[in-house]
Amino acid sequence: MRLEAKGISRRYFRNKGSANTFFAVKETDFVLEPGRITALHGRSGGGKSTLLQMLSGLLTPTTGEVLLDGQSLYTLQDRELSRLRNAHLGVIPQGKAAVGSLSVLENVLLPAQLYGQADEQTRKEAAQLLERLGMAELAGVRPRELSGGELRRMSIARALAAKPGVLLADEPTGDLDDLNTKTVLDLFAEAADRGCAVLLVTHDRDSLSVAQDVWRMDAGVLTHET
Amino acid sequence: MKRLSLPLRNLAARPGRTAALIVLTALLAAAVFGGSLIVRSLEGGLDSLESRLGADVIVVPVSAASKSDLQNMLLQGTVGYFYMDSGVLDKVRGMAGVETASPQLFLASLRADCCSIPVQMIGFDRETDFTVTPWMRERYSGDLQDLQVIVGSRVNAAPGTSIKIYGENCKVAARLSETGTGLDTAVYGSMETLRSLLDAARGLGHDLKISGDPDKVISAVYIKVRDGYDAESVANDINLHVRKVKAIRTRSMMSDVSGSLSSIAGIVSVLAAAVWVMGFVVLFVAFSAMTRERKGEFAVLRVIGMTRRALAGMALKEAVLIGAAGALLGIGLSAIVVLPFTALIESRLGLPFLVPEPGRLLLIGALTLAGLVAAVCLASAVGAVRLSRADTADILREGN
Repeated sequence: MRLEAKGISRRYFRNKGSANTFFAVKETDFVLEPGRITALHGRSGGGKSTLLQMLSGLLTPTTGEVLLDGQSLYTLQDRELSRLRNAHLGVIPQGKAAVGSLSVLENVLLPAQLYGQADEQTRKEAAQLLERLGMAELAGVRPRELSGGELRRMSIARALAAKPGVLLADEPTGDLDDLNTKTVLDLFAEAADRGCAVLLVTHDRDSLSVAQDVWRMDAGVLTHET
Repeated sequence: MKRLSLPLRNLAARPGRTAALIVLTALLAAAVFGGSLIVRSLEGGLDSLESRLGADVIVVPVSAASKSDLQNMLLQGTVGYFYMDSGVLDKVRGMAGVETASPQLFLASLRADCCSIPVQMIGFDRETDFTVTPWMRERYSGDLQDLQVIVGSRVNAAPGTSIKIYGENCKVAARLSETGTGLDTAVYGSMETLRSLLDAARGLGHDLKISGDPDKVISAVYIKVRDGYDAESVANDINLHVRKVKAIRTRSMMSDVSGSLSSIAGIVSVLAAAVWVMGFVVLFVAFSAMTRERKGEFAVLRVIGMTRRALAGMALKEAVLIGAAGALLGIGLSAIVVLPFTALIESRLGLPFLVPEPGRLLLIGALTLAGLVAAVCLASAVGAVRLSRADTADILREGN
């Protein structure tokens, strides 16, 4: 699927209600093409996560629009946008993103269960994903028993198991060792090979090597590097 | 795993917190259901007593220490007896405004083979009675023969059996329905039966403190006032013109009971309201804290495509489950505490206590359940709405 941002920006108030504002993302165009990995790097606080959240339909841009295969995300009602995000967007947020009452495997299957039932094939693929990420033995445990790196891998498995048309990953390898980083990047490459458009937001310069397009973002300004 | 099971799973995953919320909700339910049950039972007892007494004025000897003795006898089942000459009946019948006057004869037995408690015996005049006969007819359509009795609901004697009182075998014709008053521990028979028992008691050496001819005594006269006359005036007339008796307006006795009932109902209501206010505040704080603590989890659900409405719905479903479980627990516990001890409550309060019919009990329970679920939903609603409006991006930016 093709995800395109046209003239999007995001302005914030420094203090609530004050006139003192700043742009976390200055007006820019951006495209994620199907089958390609796009990397975005830059200094902390530069606006990378804000851009990713706008692309994922979670943060309304101050200006511009985000189009998924021509469909403008922010003209949709919450119900339609939520269904669309569930069906086509795989988002790997920063932080400990887990539903505490469910096991690791149930967390991975959750997107498939939200509007229906996970079929046998989905369950099998979810189990295989956990195995490749070195978490097969942790499938039945609760998230509170996991380390930061394990939680991150669970989050990656959850986004990939839904077979999204667009994968938006915010610092996916931040807590991972080299071996796990390689596994994750291999999985992203496989997703791209299946036609998925992948955005990889990262500080890790080694991760940039898997990307066909590399962008840099500093102080809200997006620059195309390669 | 179905989508709908998520609220249940969330509650099960935090057993300590869930149990604490259910216990708190149960406390609120117990306060409401228990309080309502007690107040309704007191009201039911009062209504029942009023309808059973059926008389406008009751005349007793002055030696009965006026209405308190009679009141204790009727309300608490305290056995008692007092006597006056039956000539009082003729004098009362001759008074202006008296439509019907019917005598009753009281006797108390400290022992009877039916009962572990003292039994009050009440004899009524089959020809003129208008207080016992109407509700006796609900259970027994025949005419009571000599040494044939009907018993109150708490007297342990089945119809068709006999009970021995002062050595006399009395055949039980029927058992009356419950009134929640002292009348439930009484045994009723004709005046002739009571006179036989009176003789038997005296024959066994019991001093019944009868002055005058024992064959011509009565204990009370129940009066129905003629239309157009005021019961208060009739009672005053009797007190003025008939010596050594006290005429008591039934309504004045009822107003004493009713006043006590109002005080108790007021105390119960204030206590229940205090428990509710405190409980509601605690529930509100608990649900707000729960929402804050779980906002990272809610952000994940938004990220994977849960709608704002479904998210708020999930939080409310958890509240409904907690409310329903707590309400059922509280209702069950207060029923277990109150229902088996109605006789004890009645004797401690000194007021008629008649538990509502099962259908009405179920209705009170259902209303309590609905009220509790609504209250818990209200306590969680602020958190649920705040949650559904929260900006997922903000939560993710805060790092969960």
